[in-house]
Amino acid sequence: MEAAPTRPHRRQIPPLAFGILVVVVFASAIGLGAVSGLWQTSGRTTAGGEQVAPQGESAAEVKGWMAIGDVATAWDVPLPDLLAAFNLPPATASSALVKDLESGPVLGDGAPGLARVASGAGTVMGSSACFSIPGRGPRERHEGRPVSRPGGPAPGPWPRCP
Amino acid sequence: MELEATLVGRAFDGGNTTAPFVGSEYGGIRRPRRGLAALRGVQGFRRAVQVSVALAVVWLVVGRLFAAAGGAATSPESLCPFGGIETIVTFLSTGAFVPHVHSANVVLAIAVLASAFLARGAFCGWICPLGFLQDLVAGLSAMVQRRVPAIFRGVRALRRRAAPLAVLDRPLRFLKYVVLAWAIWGTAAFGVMVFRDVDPWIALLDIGRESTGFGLVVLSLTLLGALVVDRPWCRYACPLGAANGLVARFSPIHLERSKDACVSCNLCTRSCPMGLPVATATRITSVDCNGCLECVESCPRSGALELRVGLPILFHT
Repeated sequence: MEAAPTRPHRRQIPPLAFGILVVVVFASAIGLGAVSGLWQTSGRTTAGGEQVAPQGESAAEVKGWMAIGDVATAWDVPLPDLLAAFNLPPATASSALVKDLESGPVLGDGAPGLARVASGAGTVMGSSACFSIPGRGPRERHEGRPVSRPGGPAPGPWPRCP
Repeated sequence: MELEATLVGRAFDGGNTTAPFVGSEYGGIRRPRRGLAALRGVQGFRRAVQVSVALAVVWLVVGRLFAAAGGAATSPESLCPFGGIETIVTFLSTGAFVPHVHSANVVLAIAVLASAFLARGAFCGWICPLGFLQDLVAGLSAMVQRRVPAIFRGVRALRRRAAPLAVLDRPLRFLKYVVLAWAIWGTAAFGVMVFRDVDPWIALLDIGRESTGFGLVVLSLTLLGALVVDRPWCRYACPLGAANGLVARFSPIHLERSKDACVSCNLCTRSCPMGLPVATATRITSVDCNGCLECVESCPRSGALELRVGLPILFHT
């Protein structure tokens, strides 16, 4: 008896199985991220749900949801100096959010955003503690003050600005 | 041949035939599904996945709109996989993310690229809410055209006039790779997401809050374009689709068209939202394929278009 012709089904994937594969792969990757504690969807909380507080250790910590006053406090930079560094009006409220300052209503069109400058340059509130004032040149650099943190070591002298 | 022509003719005339093709090693001619019937099977599952993802995103965006000021609501921008790709150079060089990027962005980027490796551009066809939105607009456009003959004639005339522009289709598809390179380079060079201000997805996520004017313009143009061209953003400008396509070159899954079984009806090409010439290809390994399987679903001949596992295109000579 002659065998019936067979269709070339070798290594074929049913369309529904393909769809299930897509969903499973995508969901599994997210699930693994969540289990690993990497699924963080808000800058205000950690993956564990704890509130984030600025530590004043790196300019990269500056986030749009922070108030300019909180930034000044955390990095121990006088608010007027901080406002002057970014050409912000001296009357800017300490409660103004960084993202609002960045998006233009205070700085105006074309002005560099605070978070952008802070994260891009990384010198204003970085670990070097040098306070570079844009547009005034290196001669007018301002040295920051040593900071004492609760439970931390006693403050030492700041290194001189390069 | 005569019987085949008869069956094909009946199928396209709406005949209700499910008879197998006599003497063929392939299946019979299926009647094309229309309307809600088209949502049965794998396309129904695909639409259900798209709707579920879109509703989840809408829930988060609306929830954020009504969240108390200073609350820790989910940032909709954390749901953008491309943010994870944009920050890759900065993250590898400094260990930090650029502003507006959360670790969820990176997780999503990994999820998208993993799905691209295993299932080609299926993220775009099955999950991406912006792609789904373009599908919705295209579906709405098709529905209105069916019901209002004047609009149908207008769109047809517009397409005829724009037909000479079809020569631009292929070169314009490379634009998304330029956008991808610019977005990654710009983010690494300037420390900010340069693409964010023009990103229609971010404009949509931040709608009512921080949407930038140019992002909304791009979003509007995309949706207007979707009225006459399927998935214009995905075809020409989406940098995430470009990254997906690059990874998809390593994917072992592809579509194959059997020349023996194909009845050359061209329905697969006409149904492809990415405008790929499925009916003339043997292996559909285009980096633009979004894995929606509309071509497979529209194919009237069982066995003519199938998903296969094989060596990735990179390893073929």
